[in-house]
Amino acid sequence: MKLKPRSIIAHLAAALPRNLAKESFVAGSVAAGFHFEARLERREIRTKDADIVVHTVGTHADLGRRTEELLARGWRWNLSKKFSPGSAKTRAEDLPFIRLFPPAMKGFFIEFLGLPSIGQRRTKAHERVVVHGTHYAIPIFRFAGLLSWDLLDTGLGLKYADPAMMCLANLLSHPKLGTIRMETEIGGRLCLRSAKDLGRVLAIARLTPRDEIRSWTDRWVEALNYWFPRDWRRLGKSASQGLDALLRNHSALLEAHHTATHLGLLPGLRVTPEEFAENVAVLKNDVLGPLLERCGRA
Amino acid sequence: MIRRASHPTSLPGFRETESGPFDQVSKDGSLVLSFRLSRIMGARDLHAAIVETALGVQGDERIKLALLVWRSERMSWARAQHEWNQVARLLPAAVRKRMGFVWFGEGSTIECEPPTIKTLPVVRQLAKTGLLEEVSALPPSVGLSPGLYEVFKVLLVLWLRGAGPTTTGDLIDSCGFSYPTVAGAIEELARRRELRRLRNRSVELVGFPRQTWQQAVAISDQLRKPIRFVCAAGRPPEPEFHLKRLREERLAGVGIGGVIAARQLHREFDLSGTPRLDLTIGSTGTGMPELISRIDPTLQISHDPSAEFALVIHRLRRSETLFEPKGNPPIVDPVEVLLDLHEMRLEQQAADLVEHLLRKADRR
Repeated sequence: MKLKPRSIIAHLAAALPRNLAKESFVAGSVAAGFHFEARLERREIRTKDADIVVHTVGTHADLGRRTEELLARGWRWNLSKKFSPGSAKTRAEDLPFIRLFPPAMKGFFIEFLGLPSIGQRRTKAHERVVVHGTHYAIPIFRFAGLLSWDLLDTGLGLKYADPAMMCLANLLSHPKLGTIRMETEIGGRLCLRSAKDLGRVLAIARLTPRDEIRSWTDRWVEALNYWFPRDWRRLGKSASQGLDALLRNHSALLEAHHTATHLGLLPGLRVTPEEFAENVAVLKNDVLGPLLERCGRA
Repeated sequence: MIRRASHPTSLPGFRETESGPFDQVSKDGSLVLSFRLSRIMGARDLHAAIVETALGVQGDERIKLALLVWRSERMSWARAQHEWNQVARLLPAAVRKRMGFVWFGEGSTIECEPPTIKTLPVVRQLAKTGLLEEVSALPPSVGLSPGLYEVFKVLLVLWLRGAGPTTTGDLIDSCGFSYPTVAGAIEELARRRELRRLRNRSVELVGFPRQTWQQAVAISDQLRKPIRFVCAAGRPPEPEFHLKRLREERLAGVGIGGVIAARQLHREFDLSGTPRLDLTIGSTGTGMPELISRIDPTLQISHDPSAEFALVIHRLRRSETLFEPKGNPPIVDPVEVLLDLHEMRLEQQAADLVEHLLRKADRR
């Protein structure tokens, strides 16, 4: 469904309890679409969900009570056969995530994500949450902490992840293309998850002024240092591996281009796949090269 | 003089380019032709043409083969082949392998280096069409030789700066040309009544030389041979970014021209935004490949006249750059700035700048 990121954020900010809104931020396509709304001339983006990262300190278990509060305010579950609630016997990794439709707005749902602890090594952890006696999970991605670095203010009552940090998190999440495909089709194609995420990196790079891209290196190093004090050099050195793999795989590159143009960050800009791929060179020249140097030197 | 061919027609399957080092390009961009056709070109001209072709090839990966088509009555095939091989062997193999030399003699005799390209359809077509005879026979379109053009530009810079008369010796030093070339240029400008000789054998322009200026503007693209770059990622031009990079790199012998320099020369320069960055490289300045690799290696040469150019590089043939001494990087002389504006089709802005410079020099 095509929606304006500003409308989504304004609606969420109004519908979330103030405390929860304060402890949350928006990430993903809605955040990116909002950040670049001027350059996109306030076009709509295609989205089905808004990633809401909740950065409560310590445990995320309290989200059970928060979810009950949302349901009492008119939010509705987005459940399916695959996403039916579990019980105390269900393994955490088999539990459904908390997906809720906001009141009085159709077309998208929110999904709660958690922040990892510093240095988390698991790619994806699951934290159990009980809502009205049924069990759900909060996914905690290894690199989600990077998203909370230098949060930006929408001015609408919600913060959002800096696109520069979304790029870093996506790059680190996909050192290889892998074989995992999206659950739903994008423009008629079941694309590789990695192609979609790396495509978003290239789309963000295409929309960001070069001078700004060059300023990412320092912030990336600081954020890596904070979230991965032991591994930051190794991680930094691996940041370009996914893009290298994308350039070697033409069909994955076309999928990345397809998702970036279809979902809304690049429509109307008439970026060819060849031009799209050249953003890898821009990133390598302006930020990934200097990052590699910093990680090797330190 | 060296003449870039101005073809009445393109070869079938080729289109003419309006800029860049090549004259015609095949539809898929893989085969390009560069014509050097004149009665009087010598070895230095051939060396320059080979290097220019090599730079064009190096900057565009789509090019599978670039043919330098050469005709000069002053040079036999044996000599031309020798000169070609001398220079070509200095080039990187990856570039050299994508270049070919086509020499035309009397009666459409053709020789090639490497010889295998003689059988290419495009080479056979060149011989058949008689295009080369047609082009060689064309008179110079604007009546300015490269020597006169450069001497004229130096005289105009001095005049606009109010530097007073200059001597033939100083002009020889500034231009790096021989005495006959400079003397011939002075003679021609005097004949046009645009230059006066003073008692102490010095010379100066008598006013703004509109006749020669118009000819200089018309021929500038041909003689300055601008190399135009676009962002390979299809990004819009970011001239402020490239200017910042240039400042950070502090490259020798590179001056800023175009709109940015025009604004420094005239505070009320009437143009919103900066469409692109124009740079001029002096004859002893940083080489173009080094410049690009240092400020932004993601740029690529474009021959598409409708493209939004991020950066345009001009090269000066003369010895002295005449850049404004202050600034990092310095700005180029006002004549190069005016020529940059004309090249961008900013005719009105160029005319306004001329008026401003004349007022400033109290020459109206």
